[in-house]
Amino acid sequence: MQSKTPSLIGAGLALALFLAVALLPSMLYGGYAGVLLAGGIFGTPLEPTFLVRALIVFGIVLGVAGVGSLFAVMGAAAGAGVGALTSLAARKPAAQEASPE
Amino acid sequence: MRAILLSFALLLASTARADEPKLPKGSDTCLQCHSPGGDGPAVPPDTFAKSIHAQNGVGCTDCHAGYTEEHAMGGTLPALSDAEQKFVSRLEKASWVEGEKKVKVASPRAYLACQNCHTEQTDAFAASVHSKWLREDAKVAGPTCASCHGSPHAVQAMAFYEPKAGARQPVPEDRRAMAKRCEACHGNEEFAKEAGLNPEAAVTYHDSIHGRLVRVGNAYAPVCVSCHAAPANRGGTHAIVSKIDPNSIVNVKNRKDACARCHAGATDSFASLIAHKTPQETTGHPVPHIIHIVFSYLTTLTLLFFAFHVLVDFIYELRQRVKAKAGHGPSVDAVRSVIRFDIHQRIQHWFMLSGVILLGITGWPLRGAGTFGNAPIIGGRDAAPYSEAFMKIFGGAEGAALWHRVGAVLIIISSVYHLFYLTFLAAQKRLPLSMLPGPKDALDMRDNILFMLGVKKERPRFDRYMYLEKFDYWAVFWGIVMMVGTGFIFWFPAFFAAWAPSWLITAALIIHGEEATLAILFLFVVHFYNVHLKPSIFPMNWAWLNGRISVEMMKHEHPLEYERMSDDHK
Ligand code: HEC
Ligand code: HEC
Ligand code: HEC
Ligand code: HEC
Ligand code: HEC
Ligand code: HEC
Ligand code: HEC
Repeated sequence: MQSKTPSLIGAGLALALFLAVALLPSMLYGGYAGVLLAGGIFGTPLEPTFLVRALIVFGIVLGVAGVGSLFAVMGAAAGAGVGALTSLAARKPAAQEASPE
Repeated sequence: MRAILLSFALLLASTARADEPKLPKGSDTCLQCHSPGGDGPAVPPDTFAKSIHAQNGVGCTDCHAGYTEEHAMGGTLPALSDAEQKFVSRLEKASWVEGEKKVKVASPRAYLACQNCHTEQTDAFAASVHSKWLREDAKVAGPTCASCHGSPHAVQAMAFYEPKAGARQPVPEDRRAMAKRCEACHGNEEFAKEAGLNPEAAVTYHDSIHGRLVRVGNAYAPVCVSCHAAPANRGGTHAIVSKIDPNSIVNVKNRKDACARCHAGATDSFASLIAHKTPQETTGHPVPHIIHIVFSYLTTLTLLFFAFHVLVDFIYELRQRVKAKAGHGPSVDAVRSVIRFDIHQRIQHWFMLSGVILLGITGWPLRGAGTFGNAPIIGGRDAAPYSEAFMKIFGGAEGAALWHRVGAVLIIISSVYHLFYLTFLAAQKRLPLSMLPGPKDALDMRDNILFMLGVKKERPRFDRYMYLEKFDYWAVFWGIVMMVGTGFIFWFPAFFAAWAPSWLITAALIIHGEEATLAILFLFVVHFYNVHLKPSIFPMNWAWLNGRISVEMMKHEHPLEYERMSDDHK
């Protein structure tokens, strides 16, 4: 549809921001979601069994993937928006040139 | 000599800074030896001078009655009555563990003096559960005045705090500081067990809705004394008694009065929503338990399955990339497009997505702000400071709560719009029955996964909505019913508690949190992957903006629909 480059740049910048400010908290939120789920499935107090740990790690992975995706998507959408605006601005003079012919 | 030098120095200091707070009469004699560096245990003169006692002219000997320089040379102190002696020897025996070290009362006699000037408080305290250890032998030493107020040499005036439902009041800083002191005992597992108290009192409070609100910076959510202090005219915090005592403000019979300090119209059933227990245990009813377990399984299994689906899809996409031939220019079909979603559908989706993102980013930081305790892997860490920092974007915790409600309104608008839209379509007999799930979807799902894994050669041929899209749609349908339904209960808790049983409300609280986990993780991971981050689609499937799908994509993703449309055109 359009060049992917602006959205890739946007997503890249957003991911860098994610790594800088949001990686650790999203690991914690995800891990805590895992802890709560594990509590429901295996009962509290949680014993650090393999399955419990696996579920918490799963939560961490999803937390990171989820918040990371949110950053990436917002960044890509912003990039695509900027890309669309600049290409529009670039195209306008060309259209004006073309009209008198 | 040293004493003279010291007093000289003090004199110089006080003339040099005339506006410095003055010490009460007689105190300087004592401070000759009791200033830092003196012979006796130090009482920091600056701190004391600024304390409310020194400011009101209460001097050393007003509390340390009968003390003269003599005591340093083994002089005797005034004799005590039997009752006083008993009180003092209980204080002498007492010790507490603070961190690693044991602490004892440094000057037990001084506590006899408080009642001379603070009768109201000492009387209330003398009848409270906290002074039981001073009336009879106990396994552990409970609090003295200093356990809550800190050193009597540094005491400051307590801020006025009497929250009313109509005029909520931010919790003053001193009550927050005091909550830490309550927890030094009630949050200490060994101490609580020895005292026969609930060792979970502090943890369950922090994990409760109130505790988490406080942890993310809500200024109004209650600290310990907000609920536990008796009414001010009945002794306040000094009059705390056992919860089984009918005079206790948290006794089952009175509890609603504690809640009514902030929640207008609190009833007994509302009051039973919070009791230092996990939500599923609070009411003792089995339904919240079952719901907790069912939702834990539902969330875990759903997320496991879709994480697997995303992974398989991603590997498939990577393999396709490697295989893809270079120089494959855009075909006509890649440029031609057809309308897939009309403007109503797109508007519904815009409301939905902005609402859900807003709800997710304002709700999750609160949910994640519980205590991790010694949970595996994340134990000992704390996400609350991050939540608090993040919520500043929304103007703090109260602001985030407000935006959360804005998000709720957005998805409600979307849902109502959608229902009207469906009714309209139904009236025209144009209901899109293609959205209904059928047995073909299960087969498609199996075949698609096998195809992506490379086991099957042929991709299943999808109709207008493939199984992922149907799941997205129906999951939102279900999710909205769950989240809006339960969210509403917590928007107006006292109203619902007036007629709904408390286990139902507790169940709603559980569902709201656990369904949110499922919804947000599903949308941010699985849905975002399928419509944005999938390499062949990145940066996005533009249909949400322009409603269009390219003919090429349609042939590929929805061949059955494409063929039907081509047939219609023939
Ligand atoms: C000549 C120095 C000196 C002066 C003046 C002095 N003290 Fe002390 N004080 C000491 C010393 C030394 C100790 C430590 C005694 C011990 O450990 O047995 C002490 C201990 C104390 C204690 C803690 C032990 C207890 O028995 O409760 C208090 C309270 C106290 N002094 C109050 C006072 C007061 C009030 C005054 C002023 C009226 C005062 N002191 C004046 C030297 C002094
Ligand atoms: C409002 C009452 C009050 C006043 C006024 C007061 N004290 Fe105290 N003081 C206490 C109490 C109560 C303790 C015991 C604290 C505890 O350990 O629980 C104490 C403890 C002490 C101790 C023992 C501290 C230690 O660390 O061993 C000393 C010494 C002392 N006071 C000296 C003084 C001096 C000197 C002054 C005047 C400058 C003074 N106090 C004013 C109530 C008071
Ligand atoms: C000689 C009288 C006197 C004695 C003895 C005394 N106080 Fe006070 N206290 C005062 C005065 C006066 C104030 C300041 C005015 C007020 O709030 O009552 C005050 C204030 C306080 C406050 C802050 C109250 C507020 O307004 O928020 C606390 C807490 C306190 N005292 C604790 C104690 C303790 C604990 C003891 C015993 C170790 C004690 N006092 C002994 C006179 C005394
Ligand atoms: C929202 C109000 C509220 C707050 C805030 C609160 N509590 Fe409670 N607390 C209660 C109620 C209600 C009960 C009665 C529970 C029951 O009947 O089992 C209770 C009971 C207790 C008990 C009795 C032990 C037990 O059986 O559970 C202790 C101890 C206690 N609270 C300490 C604290 C401490 C410490 C804090 C602060 C960290 C605190 N509470 C904060 C409402 C509150
Ligand atoms: C369990 C904690 C705790 C203990 C123990 C305690 N206080 Fe307080 N005190 C408070 C709190 C909290 C307030 C603020 C008003 C309220 O909530 O009752 C307060 C207020 C006061 C005030 C200000 C007047 C008022 O009631 O608002 C005085 C004076 C006071 N306390 C003296 C004492 C004395 C003397 C003792 C020891 C006998 C003591 N306190 C023990 C918690 C405590
Ligand atoms: C020095 C330790 C200590 C401190 C500090 C302390 N408590 Fe306690 N508390 C105890 C002990 C011990 C008991 C139990 C007394 C008994 O039953 O013999 C108790 C009992 C209670 C109870 C009654 C529990 C029941 O059985 O229903 C409540 C409520 C309570 N405390 C709340 C508080 C609050 C609120 C604070 C802070 C303002 C506080 N405590 C500060 C030691 C402490
Ligand atoms: C000091 C004030 C205060 C007291 C006392 C208090 N609460 Fe709350 N509570 C809050 C605040 C603030 C919130 C956040 C939501 C809001 O602003 O209403 C809240 C939220 C809640 C919620 C979540 C639903 C909602 O409105 O967001 C429940 C349930 C609740 N409280 C129950 C109780 C119960 C039960 C008691 C009595 C045992 C109690 N509260 C006592 C201040 C208080």
